[in-house]
Amino acid sequence: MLSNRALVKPDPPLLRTPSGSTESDEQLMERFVQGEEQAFSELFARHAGRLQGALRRMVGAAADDVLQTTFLSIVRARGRYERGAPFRPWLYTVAVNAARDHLRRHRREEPRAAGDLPDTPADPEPLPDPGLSRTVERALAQLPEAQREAIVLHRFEGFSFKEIAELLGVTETAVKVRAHRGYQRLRVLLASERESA
Amino acid sequence: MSDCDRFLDALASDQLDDAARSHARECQVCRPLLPEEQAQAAAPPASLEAVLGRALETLRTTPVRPWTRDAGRIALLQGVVAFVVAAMLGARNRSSPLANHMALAVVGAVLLAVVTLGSVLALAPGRRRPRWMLALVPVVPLLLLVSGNGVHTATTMRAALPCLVTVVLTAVVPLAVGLALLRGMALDAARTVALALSAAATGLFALHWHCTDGSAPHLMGFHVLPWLALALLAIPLRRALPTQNHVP
Repeated sequence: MLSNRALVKPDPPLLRTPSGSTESDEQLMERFVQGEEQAFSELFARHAGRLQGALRRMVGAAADDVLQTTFLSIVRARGRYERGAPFRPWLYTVAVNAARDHLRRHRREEPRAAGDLPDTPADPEPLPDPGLSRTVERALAQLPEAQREAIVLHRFEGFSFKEIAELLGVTETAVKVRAHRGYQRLRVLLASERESA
Repeated sequence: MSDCDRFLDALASDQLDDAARSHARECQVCRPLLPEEQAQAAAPPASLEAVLGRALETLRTTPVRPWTRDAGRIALLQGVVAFVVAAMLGARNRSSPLANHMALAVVGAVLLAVVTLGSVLALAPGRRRPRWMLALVPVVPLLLLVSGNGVHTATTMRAALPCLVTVVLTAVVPLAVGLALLRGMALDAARTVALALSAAATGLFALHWHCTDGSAPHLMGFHVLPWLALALLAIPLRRALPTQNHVP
């Protein structure tokens, strides 16, 4: 059986720093906490593209703003990083918090609709079927926030339910329930998308 | 159960087997959910370059700020407020012939720890440590009851109300400073309650030495209730404030 994590594709080689560092994220983070720009750039190159994709699925067209907020939060509050803590879940916790804050602030102004999604897929690589990707993103946009988070983190980002539970500050059971309901709803939405197409 | 349902169950439980996978490949509804169907969305380099540039600029101008510095400052502030108010009110309870001096001293020390160490715990990074503070909700009232002398002296509302007012007024400055600090980290109800419990314990500490009414109804209604009410009130107050940083 192929695990979700094994299916996660590596980031495209965007913004790769010339160092080609083999240091772990956590080692880079320790150097970045001391203010080393190169360590931060390396971390950014490793994670920003992928995180942007996840945020696009969570907040649609505002993904770039939320990504900026996420990295500025990390830079300003790097003193709150606990030495040795796994970096990627920490980064995604900050990103999910920023996405939630964004949605909370904008909920009253205008309800999020599928139209918020970018008009063109951002991926420069050829998709197996770009139409399918758009369809899934549109369906995702219609899910309740908690279910969308669980599915994006589990299905697209390859986190285990246990990791998602840690990341969101809820129980593993709650995450499983959210994901299960989300997948059910997603199937209904995809079916109706297909019918309307 | 349909094949689609079986596929979704397998996907949701991380047990995607060959049968589920082969159904999904044939099914137009399930196919988009197959992990291999989705290419990872990558970013246009230009937008990432802009994000990186701004982050690096901020990094150059923002020195590292250890969380312990803020936590230490608010612990000190709360400790000072608690002692100043206690000194202003006087230690009438301690000199009362009915006082149990040992119990008073132990509970006083616990309240002082809540005021100082509690704020450090509430501001600690991550989600777990602030939640430990929530254990105070049953513990502090129990300790106050144990150390109380059981004598009901503030029999009228007029006599009892100053205790409630003291808890609220004493907490104003620590709570305001605490809420301002909380803006610099992700919105977290448990952390907010934890910090407010610590801030509002300044008034409990001062009253612990001053108030001679050691009856359970008075302690619960005019000491503990405002302490808990302030902790709960802090949640909507924090939510109303804009968040400046999303790090937990």
